[in-house]
Amino acid sequence: MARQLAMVINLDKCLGCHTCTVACKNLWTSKKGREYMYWNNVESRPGPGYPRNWEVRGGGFDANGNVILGELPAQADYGEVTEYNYEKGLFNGGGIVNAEPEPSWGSNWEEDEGEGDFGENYYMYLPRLCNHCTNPACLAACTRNAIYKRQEDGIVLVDQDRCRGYRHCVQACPYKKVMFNSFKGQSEKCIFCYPRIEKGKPNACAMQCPGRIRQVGFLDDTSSDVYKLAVQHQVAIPLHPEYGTGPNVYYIPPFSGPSTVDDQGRPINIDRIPMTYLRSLFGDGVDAVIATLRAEREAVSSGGSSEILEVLNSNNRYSL
Amino acid sequence: MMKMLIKQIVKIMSAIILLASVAITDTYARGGFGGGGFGGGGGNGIVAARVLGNVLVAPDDALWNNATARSFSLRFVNSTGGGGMQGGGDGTSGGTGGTMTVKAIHNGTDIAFRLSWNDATKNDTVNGVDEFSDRAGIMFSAEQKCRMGSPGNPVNIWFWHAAKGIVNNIIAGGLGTITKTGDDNIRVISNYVNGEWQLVMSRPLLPVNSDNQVDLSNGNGPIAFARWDGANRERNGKKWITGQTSVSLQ
Ligand code: SF4
Ligand code: SF4
Repeated sequence: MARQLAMVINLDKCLGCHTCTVACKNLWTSKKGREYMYWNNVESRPGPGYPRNWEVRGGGFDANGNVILGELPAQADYGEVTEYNYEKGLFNGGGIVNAEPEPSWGSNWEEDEGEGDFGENYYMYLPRLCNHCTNPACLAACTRNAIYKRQEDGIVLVDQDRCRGYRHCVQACPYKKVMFNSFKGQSEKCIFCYPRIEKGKPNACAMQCPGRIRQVGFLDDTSSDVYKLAVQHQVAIPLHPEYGTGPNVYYIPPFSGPSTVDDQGRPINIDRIPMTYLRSLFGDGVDAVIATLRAEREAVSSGGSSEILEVLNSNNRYSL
Repeated sequence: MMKMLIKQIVKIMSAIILLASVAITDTYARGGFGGGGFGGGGGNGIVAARVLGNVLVAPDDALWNNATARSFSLRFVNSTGGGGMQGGGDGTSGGTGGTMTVKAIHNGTDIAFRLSWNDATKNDTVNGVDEFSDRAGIMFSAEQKCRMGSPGNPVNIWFWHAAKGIVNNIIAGGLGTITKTGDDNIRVISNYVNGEWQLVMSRPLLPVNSDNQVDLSNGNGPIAFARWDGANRERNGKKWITGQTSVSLQ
């Protein structure tokens, strides 16, 4: 029987520290042709994200279930690959270690921008990786049948023996999470750390997360946290469900962020992150999820208990 | 998956070879690949001129004066969007068609083809996701109906990739099945001059492995040519192709 691994990411607790990104980069994308790649990235939203403006490039499926070939990003939309010149900065005068060549764009370039004016400005962190979709658009678009979805865990992989670098997958993935290695002339993507998973260890991004906001497990394992959050209580929801790919990375929307303040700086009980913005990311279902999460929090603060909050606050990162 | 495919193709081909060895004349006794089907003779086809010495010479070498050029008009096809794919501007031709001019020479041991076509931009590097290489190919033993061969009628392709600077020997048994065989005995010299690609590809007439390569010692046909314009992001089934012709040896 086909099984599906899933990841739940609790955006309410994301620190924006990028430890996940660094763990992934060190493990998988430091080799030639992958320098520019962030299979896991954390973007400050609202913002253009990585690759730049990925949300408006199309892809996914139309109403008839036909795969849509979106726009291919330009290489510059992923940002330049730079190196720090320690030799020059530390030993040959100067005293400043600069990135060379000087970058003009990159992953999380607009980290501190957010949106809105002082007093009501807001932003949130959005960690992203391949969603190992139930209906992967990347797979549907590949004319070589080079992309496959594993029966035993639902991990979506690119067969490097079959890939010929056509990049239809890059166009079709609405999350722009297949990336092109121009050194090898082939497409590559997040492998959900399958060599670790096969040894019963969670993904590097989930393992290293200091915020302990990621949980990994099988959706059909009723004892797993991902089951409890995504299936049983349905408080974890996918990003852009309207793309039609059935993502298996689920998010707890931010529900305890700060309020807008009045001109004296006093909170006035209006959420900084507008619901319209959250709906644009997670669909209309996000309202009910936030209502549930707040009710659970109320219950706990008035002396009750909440399985949801217990799971969210646990140190448990995986159940494999 | 790939192993299975190769196995399947090889199986089918061995069956054809078996049949062929019984059914066909001396002319094809050595011909293992694809079961022939080429009637030989010059006719309307390309005639490889007999020359002395090395045939792997630059596209502007005087040796090519021995061969008669044949020109074929290029037609845009796009089989990539099949299966209900849409969008991405990938269905449009955009690039320029024009003609593919072909010459061939042989010295009794090796054969060389000289292909030339107009291409306003030279794309021989791929430095990012948004760059595509110019490419060209010759397809041998093409079936009449299905352009990329079919499981029972594999085709053999010489596939040149400008950015890699190499020619791969490829077999295919239908759309989406092309497979590099690793028999990389096809040599290449390419030139880009005044908006024109000039490409020389050469191989021994005899296949290094008759499961993976056509025998060219008695010519071959039908054959066809294709080119991909990297500037127009052409790849896979999005390409320009000629009609079918044949090659015979002088
Ligand atoms: S997120 Fe993109 S790359 Fe990952 S499985 Fe879904 S469609 Fe494929
Ligand atoms: S490591 Fe965890 S807390 Fe830090 S950015 Fe990544 S997901 Fe957020």
